Amino acid sequence: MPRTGLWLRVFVGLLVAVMPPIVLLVGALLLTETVLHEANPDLVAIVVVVGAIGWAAILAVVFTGGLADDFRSFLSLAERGEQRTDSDLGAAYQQLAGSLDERNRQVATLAQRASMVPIDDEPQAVVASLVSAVRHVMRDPTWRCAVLGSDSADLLPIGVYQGTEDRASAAPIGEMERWASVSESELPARHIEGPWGAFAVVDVAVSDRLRAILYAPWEGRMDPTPAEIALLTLVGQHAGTALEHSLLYSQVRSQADELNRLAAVQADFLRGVTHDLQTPLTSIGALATELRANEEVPESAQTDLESITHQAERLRRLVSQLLVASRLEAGVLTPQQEVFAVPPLVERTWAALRADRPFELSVEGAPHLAVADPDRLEQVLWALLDNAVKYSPAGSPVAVQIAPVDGRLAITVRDQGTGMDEVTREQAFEQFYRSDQARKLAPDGSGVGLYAARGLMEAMGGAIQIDSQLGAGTSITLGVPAEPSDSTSE
Amino acid sequence: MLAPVRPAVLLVDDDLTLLSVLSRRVSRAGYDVRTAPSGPAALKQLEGGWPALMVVDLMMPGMDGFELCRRVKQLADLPIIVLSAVDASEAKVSALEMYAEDYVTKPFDPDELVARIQRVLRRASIGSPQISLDGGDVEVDLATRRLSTPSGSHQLTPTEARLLQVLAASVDRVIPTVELLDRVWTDADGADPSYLWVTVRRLRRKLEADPDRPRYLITERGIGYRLSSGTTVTPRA
Repeated sequence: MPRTGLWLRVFVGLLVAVMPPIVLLVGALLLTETVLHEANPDLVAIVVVVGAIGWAAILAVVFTGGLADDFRSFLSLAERGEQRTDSDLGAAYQQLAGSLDERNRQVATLAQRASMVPIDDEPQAVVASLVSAVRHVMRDPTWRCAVLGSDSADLLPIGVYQGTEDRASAAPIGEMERWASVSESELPARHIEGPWGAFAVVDVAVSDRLRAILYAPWEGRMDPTPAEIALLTLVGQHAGTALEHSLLYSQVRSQADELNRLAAVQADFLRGVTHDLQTPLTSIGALATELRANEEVPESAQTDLESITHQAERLRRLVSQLLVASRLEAGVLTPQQEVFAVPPLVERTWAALRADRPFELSVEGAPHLAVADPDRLEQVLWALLDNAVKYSPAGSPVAVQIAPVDGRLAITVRDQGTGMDEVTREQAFEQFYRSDQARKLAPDGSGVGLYAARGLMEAMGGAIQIDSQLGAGTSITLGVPAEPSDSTSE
Repeated sequence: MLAPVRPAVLLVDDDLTLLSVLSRRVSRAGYDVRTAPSGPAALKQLEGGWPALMVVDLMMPGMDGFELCRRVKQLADLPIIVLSAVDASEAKVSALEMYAEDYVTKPFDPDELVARIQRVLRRASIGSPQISLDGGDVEVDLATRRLSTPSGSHQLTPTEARLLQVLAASVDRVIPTVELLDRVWTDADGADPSYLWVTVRRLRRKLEADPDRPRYLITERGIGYRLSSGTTVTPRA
């Protein structure tokens, strides 16, 4: 049975129930003077009372069935939670459901918008995005964000920020924003009223590093419900987290940019200095060589000239090492690929070092020629032999062994020096790395020798490997591309 | 008896100390040395006569080495050695391929420069910057060191290109091993016959369809090597 017009039915029921006795009563009073003048009054009263009771009984029988149905429906509704849109309870329920739907939408929108805020963007853009997100969530375009304190003023200046859609720059902070930020500040989201009117205010950040609020005028509107306050608190938390992340991201990015800039400056400086050294170094070496070739130069000066030549040569090699390091950094190192014998190269490099040490060169296996860049391999050998001399006791021998292994020439440089611990071994090929032990034994090292050596070997298609124990000397083995060189292999 | 004519070498560098030192060293090696401290000064020198070879510093104020080389090459195919502190390999390759026969990076030993001068002059006397074998099936551009064969294109190393150039200058004629070593490598390289063997083997992998049965680069056992024309050889100047 349909339940529409319940109260109308009750009203009509009552009306119908009450009207007949009244009509009867009025009729009886009017008839008293005319028709029923001579009738027995007691009989008339009995007729009226009996008629009224009978009418009431009929109505009771007719209407109680409908009312009982309505009552049963209320009970059923309470039990099943079924919505009855035609009742006050149904309407309240519908209103409650509508509110819940709106909250769900707001929370979902908040989560979606929070995930869309671009924290890798500039913090100012992030604030604008946050304002837009809050406007969207609250369906209210009057929300703004006031940044009242920031220790990264260059990244996020103090000011009042609008949404991205406004495309407006930050406006200056006013008295109203200052008041809003401190009024009832113990509540993260609040409704406040004061000289500037009513506002909804949400704290975004309240630390010493960053202080910011989201706010919207609330004049003439109902106070926010507890559910809305809870939602606004959630909004503030999301906004605060996004803003903090954005600032951290920007700071890290700014530091990374600065580090890259410093690295570029360092690389430019290194390249510039080494370039500037090249021409004078060529001149010094060439002049000393010329003078030594001059028979008129006295014998006593020859030793000094030889020292000049040797030191110029040493400097030339160090500069070349730095150049290799900078070329590796720039990724522009392209070694030649020539065919050459390794033993004479080792002997020549060892001779250039002029180290007063026993030296042993052993060649094993079938004859092979290296296929690499002889100038670059000489640079690598010079770095290894120089290290072997620097980091081993005076008078201790240095040995080089050359043997073909798996289509390559394995060149092992072995010393009886201090060796390396595990940490040093792992970091030995890093640019500018020098262990404490190395700094003590040779304070003037540059820390690029092994770094350049590994880069050169890899560029030539070769390899380099360290085998060393602390106190047990060091062996460094180069793997150089090679080919058999006996006459039958031609 | 007339004294032998000394090949003229023009040295161009803005560093006067280096110019002086190199001038003495190259002169002692038997060359008629002229010097110029700048690009315009070098062009002025060339008006008075052409040297056999020019050594040019790449980085000079005003007209740099690239510009000087470009202008010189417009006038004549003069052999050039580039001398520079420029560290970019791209610049090196570019300079080599466009203008220079060789490239020396500072700092260098003046003896090395002398060796390079000797080698470039020896090679320049051979001529023939391009080699064509077998009616064009195999072509070598010595300036860019590119070898084109029916199986593909290969980059030659400087040594491989020099070896091919020396062999191509006397095609179908056997060049003794000693002569090849002398003309392809410098004294400073300390090359022995094994250098030649390995270089030939590597060159055959690029040049020959079947390196074990060479068609072009032929071994004359106990004597040396011969570049066979296949059907025809056309050295082009």
